[in-house]
Amino acid sequence: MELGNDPRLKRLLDEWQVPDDAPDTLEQRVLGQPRPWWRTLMSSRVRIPLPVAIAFSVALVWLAVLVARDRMPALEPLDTTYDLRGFQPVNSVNVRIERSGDAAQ
Amino acid sequence: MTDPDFRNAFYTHKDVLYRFVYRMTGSANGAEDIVQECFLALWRRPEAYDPNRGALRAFLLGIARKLVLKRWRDEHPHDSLEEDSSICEPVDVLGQERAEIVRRAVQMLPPLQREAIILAEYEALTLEEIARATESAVAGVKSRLHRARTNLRRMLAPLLEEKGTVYGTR
Repeated sequence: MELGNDPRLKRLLDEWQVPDDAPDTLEQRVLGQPRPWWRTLMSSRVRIPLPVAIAFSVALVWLAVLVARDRMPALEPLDTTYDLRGFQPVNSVNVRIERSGDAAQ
Repeated sequence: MTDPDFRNAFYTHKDVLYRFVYRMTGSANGAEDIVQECFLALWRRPEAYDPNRGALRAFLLGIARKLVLKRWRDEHPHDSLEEDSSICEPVDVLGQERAEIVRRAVQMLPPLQREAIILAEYEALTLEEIARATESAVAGVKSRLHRARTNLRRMLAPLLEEKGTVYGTR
């Protein structure tokens, strides 16, 4: 180097020293620290157009309704007709009337 | 530029950039900020570096110097970067450490002389490498180095002329 022509000046300049290495904080600032996968997942964002978001929401609600309806117990319709086929009327009817006083005895 | 390439560039050149900017600005925090900006610039526009035009170190030093000079212009809007505009006076050596005196002398150089002397003396770059980093002609770099040495000899004359005597405390 040209400064070699003046060793006194070179020696004097060498008396001013600065840190040889950049601080560790620089590495963190430039490269960042490795993050756990779950933190990456939690902080990830996805940008979608508003119409797509609305359509997706509507589809989701519709799907939820369908699933809910499938899971509801099927109600048997009330049978309002009476079928008297096979009906066997009793042969003899004995009517006995009990009063409350008879029951106590 | 792939992620491993970028990391390799960072680990290879971060220290030389940091020392250069530290000496140019005299500030550790400022140096960290500027070196970070350098690497962000490389990450954002890797195509700006053309290997055919020189080493990556010179390219990154070029970015760093532009950022340093921009900051210097912001802080000294009325001063000129040109080296001819300044003739430095001897520094007051009484009551100061020798290293501090040298630091002050280098910091008092006009920016273009300062960067030339730092890259040549402290980082041992060749004239061609300095020329590439500063986007100057080799002859221009030689001229700046000559003026920088002349100014430093004048400013540091009390220390250079002493014979075994130390000014200030050490």
